Amino acid sequence: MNAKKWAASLLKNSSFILLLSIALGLAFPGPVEVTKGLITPALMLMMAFS
Amino acid sequence: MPAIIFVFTSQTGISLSYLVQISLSLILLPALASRAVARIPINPVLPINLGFFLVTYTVIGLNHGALWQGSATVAAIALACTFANALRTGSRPSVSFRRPGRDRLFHSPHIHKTALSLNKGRARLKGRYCLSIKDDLAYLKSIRIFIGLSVFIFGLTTVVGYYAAAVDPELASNWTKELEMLKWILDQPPILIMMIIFLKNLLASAMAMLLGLGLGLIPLLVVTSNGFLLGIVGYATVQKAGWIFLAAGILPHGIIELPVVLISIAIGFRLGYLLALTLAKEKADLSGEIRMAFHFLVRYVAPLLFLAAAIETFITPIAISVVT
Repeated sequence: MNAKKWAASLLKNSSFILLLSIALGLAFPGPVEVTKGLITPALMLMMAFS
Repeated sequence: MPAIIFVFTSQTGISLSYLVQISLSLILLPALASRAVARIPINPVLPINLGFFLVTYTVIGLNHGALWQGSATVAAIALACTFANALRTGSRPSVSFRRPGRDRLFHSPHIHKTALSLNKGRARLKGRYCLSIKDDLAYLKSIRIFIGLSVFIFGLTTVVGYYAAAVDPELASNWTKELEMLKWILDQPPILIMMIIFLKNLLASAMAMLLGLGLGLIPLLVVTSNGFLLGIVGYATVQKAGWIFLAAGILPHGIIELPVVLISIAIGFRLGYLLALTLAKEKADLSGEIRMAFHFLVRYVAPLLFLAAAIETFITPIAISVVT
């Protein structure tokens, strides 16, 4: 599997995304002030695509 | 349901207009947008995961201080248990739980056929599928790993909560503040108290069960927070009045309520696991499983929680008065 496919499969892996977001949220919470306003649009995006 | 939501949200200071606004944003608009979005030639997993990342990152980031201070251990253990079990069950799919030769209900040994594939060829009454108690027991047996997982996490977080309260009383008082918000219930007449307890437990169980679709995060949150809270309250009660008082206050209704809630949580974990399988392009009858969850909610969870609420309102106080 080449690097591109490997990266794509990681981005589709929900468990990886969960762990990554938890790790980043705990280690680098700075940008949450920016992403705070994106929660509702993000949920809308998820609902629309799911 | 809107009335129930209004009753509980009005206690937390959330206005009805905000609730309507959020419902429109998160239900009506996405439902309308989904028609157009379905035509976009893009893998839906990517935007879903992007949204999932943003929401999880923000929620964790906003609460990282609290998480570092104490709950991180609980969350880490619970998450580790969840993923360890998911990996284990993922590598060895559930096998059929009926004897060979009989009709297989929920699972095939090789693919993740679930739940209401059980309905194929089954009798229908007034358009509804007829499930016997035997079928329901077979379903429970098929999700025994998730039941074990929810019991294990609940037990573990209860023990952690008990010792956390012993070590850090300030942490315990912060958690019990949440309970003080519910003191208004005690001022109501007994019948209303019973109905409020019933509706609150039913709402929590239904949420843990059906919102398990969010990859099992909500049931994980429900089981860890309830276990931790029980541990903290248990410690405070034991210190004040002893183990017998605690048993009298919990056992009469808890003997029904706890298994029902833990099974609801287990079904939630199961739905989350199946959603993960679906996202990974595995075959899984997610809609059938959701119908099975509804079936359990209506047939068992709601009546048993009603019984537990009646016991909690009318019998538990008698048990407490006997031991005091």
